[in-house]
Amino acid sequence: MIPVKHIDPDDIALYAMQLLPPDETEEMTLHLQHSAEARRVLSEIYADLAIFAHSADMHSPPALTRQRLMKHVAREKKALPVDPLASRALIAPGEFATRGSGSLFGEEATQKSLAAKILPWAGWALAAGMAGLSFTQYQQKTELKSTLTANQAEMAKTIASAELANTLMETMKDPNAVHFALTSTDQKPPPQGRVTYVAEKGSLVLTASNLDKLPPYKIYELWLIPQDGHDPIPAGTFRPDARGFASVVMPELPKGIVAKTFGVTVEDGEGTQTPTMPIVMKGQTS
Amino acid sequence: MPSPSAEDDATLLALVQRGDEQAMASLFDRYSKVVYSVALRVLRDPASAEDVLQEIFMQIWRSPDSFTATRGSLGGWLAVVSRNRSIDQLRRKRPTEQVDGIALASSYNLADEAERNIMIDRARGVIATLPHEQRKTLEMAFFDGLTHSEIAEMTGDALGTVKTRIRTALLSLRKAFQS
Repeated sequence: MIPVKHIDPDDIALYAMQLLPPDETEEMTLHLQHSAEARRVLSEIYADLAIFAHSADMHSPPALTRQRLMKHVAREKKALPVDPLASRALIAPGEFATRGSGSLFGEEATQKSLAAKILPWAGWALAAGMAGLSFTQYQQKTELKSTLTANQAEMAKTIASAELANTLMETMKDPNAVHFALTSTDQKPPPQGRVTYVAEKGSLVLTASNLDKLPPYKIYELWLIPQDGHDPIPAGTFRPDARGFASVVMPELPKGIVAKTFGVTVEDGEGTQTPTMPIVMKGQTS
Repeated sequence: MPSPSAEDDATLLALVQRGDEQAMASLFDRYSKVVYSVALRVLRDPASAEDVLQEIFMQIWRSPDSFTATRGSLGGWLAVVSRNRSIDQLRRKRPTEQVDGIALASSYNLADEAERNIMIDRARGVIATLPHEQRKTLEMAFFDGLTHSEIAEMTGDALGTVKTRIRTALLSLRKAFQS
């Protein structure tokens, strides 16, 4: 039975842009399978999006891109399918008709003499052909193996990214997470930060904005200040981008440390194990 | 025999299917700029945009049959695929299957450079005439990959308003191109 459900046409545009949540995407995919009208609307929206995509500022790719692609293409040469017409053409049926009209004995004799000359070499030719074929197959096998290895590595990377994204989502949504809003003591411009931290998992996400640009040899460092009065624990270093935005995602932290608050300092090089005063941002539970 | 650059997309794809590297180069020359530009607009990073470009053209090389004439214009298809792949990369997730299922109801011949340039100018002209909120909302959804909930949160507009703006902007675009 085909599920009948009203679909908002506005949602088809979101579906086309892959912006629906997974459950709604699944529902829409099912609906599209059963509705030619919805598929028509979707294809119109894709055409609209194609036009809109062309509004981007046009830039030519770097000069070496083409060369890199063509090298890659050459490495993945295709095994061409055998063309049956071409194979038949090798036999050249017209030749038989011509030969058939000539002297039978004369032709047989010629054929025998030719066969006597060719046959001793045929075995060698066949062996050479087989050797060539084996070498080509060996090369193809090696190429396939290296492609497979590259794909597996890519897959592992993707899975790791997905796991990180899951943990990130869990941290953000965890009901036990405590949130700290970090604000500057300065009035202007006011850097802001937000820390989401789950003590039992030791997972943490910091997003900060309006940060001042630092000299190249300086770096911001986030500190977890434990509730039990122990020394501050380094919780990741970060440099703001051109717009003053920065983030720290899942730094290595011990599990189970209850935070009294968080602070940010400016440190030398790639950060330290002990904070250097002053604290440029400090946290309060929000 | 015409040079590969003068051939239409379907012919070039058929040649690619047979392993013709020159045809592949012709497709690259024809569409790499659009694919790269869209990816660069989304990712704002030349190296990442080049990765998307290579990935898409290698997909054409490996399975040119993933695009058939029934899917509409190859140029349009590539522009949308480039955007979707870039958003996938932005979200750091594997390419979605949905990308390959894209069918465009498009009649534009983007294989022709002159026609392609005319369309680019026209698209920009039409988009410039859209109300600011519509244009901004569509840009946030399409080029920044923000969901309607995220856009609503950022702009303070109602969810329904965001959805309607996106759809209305697309309809205005279509209407302007059909007139």
